[in-house]
Amino acid sequence: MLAALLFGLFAGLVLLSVPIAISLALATTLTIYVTEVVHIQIVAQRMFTAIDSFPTIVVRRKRPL
Amino acid sequence: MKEIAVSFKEAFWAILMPVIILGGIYGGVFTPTEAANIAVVYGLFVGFFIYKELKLKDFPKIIRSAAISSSLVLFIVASASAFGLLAISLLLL
Repeated sequence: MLAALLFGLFAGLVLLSVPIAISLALATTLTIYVTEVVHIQIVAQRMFTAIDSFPTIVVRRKRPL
Repeated sequence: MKEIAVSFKEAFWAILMPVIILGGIYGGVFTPTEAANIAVVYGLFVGFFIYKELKLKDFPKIIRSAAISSSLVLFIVASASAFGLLAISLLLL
């Protein structure tokens, strides 16, 4: 039930043509804010731990200068 | 035929780069992370001193472009990680 809220929020934001990264973060934050299943600072901690590894910095998208 | 030889000679230092990277990784000389570092230093060296296409005033632009394109990907990774954690903990409830 609560998972449906999370995924529905994400699908709705994507359909509103919000960028994927922002809609993922916004859906997560709003779901935690409404339902309070986990503490809301988990989002910030988890986002930091995800990018706090050296091999993920190597990922590079080709882009004109 | 002569054209091919001339342009191969011009592109030789650029062609050498994938050889160094892949040969170094598969030959066990360095890890992929170290290969990235070596590729950056090699690219800067070739761009500045061999081809002389890069100027010192291009350097901030290069760093800026690399930072922007890395952060675009890393932001997706970060929010997908938070989303995944919440999805798992909601499905387990």
